[in-house]
Amino acid sequence: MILIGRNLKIKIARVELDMTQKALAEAVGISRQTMNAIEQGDYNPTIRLCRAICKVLGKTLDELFGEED
Amino acid sequence: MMRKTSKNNLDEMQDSRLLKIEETGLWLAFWGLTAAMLIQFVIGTTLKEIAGEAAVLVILSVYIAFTTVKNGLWTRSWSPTKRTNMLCSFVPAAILGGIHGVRRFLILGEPFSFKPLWGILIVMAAVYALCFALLELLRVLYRKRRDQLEETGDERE
Repeated sequence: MILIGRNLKIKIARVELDMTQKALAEAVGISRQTMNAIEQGDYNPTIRLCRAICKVLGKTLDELFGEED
Repeated sequence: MMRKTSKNNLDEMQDSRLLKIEETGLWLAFWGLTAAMLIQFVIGTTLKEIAGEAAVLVILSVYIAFTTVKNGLWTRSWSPTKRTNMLCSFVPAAILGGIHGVRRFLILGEPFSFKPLWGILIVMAAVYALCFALLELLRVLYRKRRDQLEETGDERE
């Protein structure tokens, strides 16, 4: 399991690019419902989806999904 | 980008939720069908009359057993041991024996005697032996398949 609790890093990275949840969801080919669940920490995405999100947001896996110290 | 194929309009989370719903539906149908057949048997329906339900249940059971063993899977909560199989075989034997007894003595009104009781015990023993033999066969096949799957891949050399 990579995500524990809410994933604010995705939200911050998304807002920095001025993207809505819907826009990010469309960019990675998922529903807004799923994107929201990922940000809320209600769904743990597969590594494939994590990489797709990182690619769109221009971040590394560690930056977005790495564990907090 | 995650591609949605023409065969699947759902993304991975929606897909996993749908799978969970389908799984619950499958077990509802399985146990519902089993309960319906047992109730029909108690109220006096003949085996011929419930042949359709029985066929569906057998096909479903064979499919589940075959595909799980093929994929080297056993149940989530029970370990594949002889002892577990012995205990699990006792449940259908007790249920069928009980139903047989209820049907003979309470529904059909047969007078209580040792002769039909022996018949019920024979039914129970037969069901127990059949279930245990099937479960043991599946356990042996499962272990073989699991070992086979464990040996494949990069670490074979």
